[in-house]
Amino acid sequence: MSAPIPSDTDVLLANHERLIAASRGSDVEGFASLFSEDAVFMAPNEPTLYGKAEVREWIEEYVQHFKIIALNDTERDVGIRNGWAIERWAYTVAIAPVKGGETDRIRDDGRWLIIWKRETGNTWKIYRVMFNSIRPVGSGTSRFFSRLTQRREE
Amino acid sequence: MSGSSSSANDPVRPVLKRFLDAVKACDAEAVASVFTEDAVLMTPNEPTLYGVQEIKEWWQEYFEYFKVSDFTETERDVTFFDDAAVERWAYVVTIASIKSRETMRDEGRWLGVWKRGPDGAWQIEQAMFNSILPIGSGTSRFLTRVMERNKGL
Repeated sequence: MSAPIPSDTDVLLANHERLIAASRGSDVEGFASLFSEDAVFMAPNEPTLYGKAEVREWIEEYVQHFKIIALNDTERDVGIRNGWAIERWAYTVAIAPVKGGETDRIRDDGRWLIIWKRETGNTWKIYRVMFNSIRPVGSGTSRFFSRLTQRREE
Repeated sequence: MSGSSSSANDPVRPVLKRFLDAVKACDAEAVASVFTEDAVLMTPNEPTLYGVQEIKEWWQEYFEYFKVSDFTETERDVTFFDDAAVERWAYVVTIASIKSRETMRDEGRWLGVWKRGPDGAWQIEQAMFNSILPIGSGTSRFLTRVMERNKGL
């Protein structure tokens, strides 16, 4: 594990803030712009997405259904290695279903593990990313989706 | 920037095999030996584990309840850079509950960061995994049912 690095030498901090801002702002283009063309995106309980175009479609669909109303870091660790970087961050999120429903707010605690690569022009892009929830099955986002699934089966 | 995923030059492959063999054998000590002292493991729906001791305890507890009976790799790619590697692999797993003998099947993915130590040995420094299957199926279906039973539903 790499030790956290000071913010003045954290070349990924600006990208990290852009990722959060795009997530909070339902900004599809801003979100997708952070990914490399050959990115692999692994969201929990969903098939793997290959390439920036698929990631863009995923976030486009996501923001049709959900609005992130709060997203705050609880932990962050960055290690830089000669053109590559490993970022691990944990967060607390509040999500509102756009269409409402029996709940107006979903709260979750999660983590992302991101592999960034430096591309031409000294820009950093997400190359591999996976995330999952810290909360037990049946709570957080999974509770919301479980109830949704049960209603569909009834 | 350097990167390659050549299987001919894949020094983490034998260590991954050792890891999987240890999981199938319910050998927490051998599983833990694949991780660095300061490794971080992020299993789904559980708090982050910090350090090889916590990781070893997690697997010890896991093996009290579950036995991984089959593990099939469905996809894998590795990128090497300097003394580190990023490995992404997907799998189909069959797990048996030791107490109820119920069997569950899951499909998951693993994202791991490997580090080569001064002695040339490769170990996992950070790793996360999650399931591809929808909520309510795979492992999460089993755990939901266990939780419901525990609540007396």
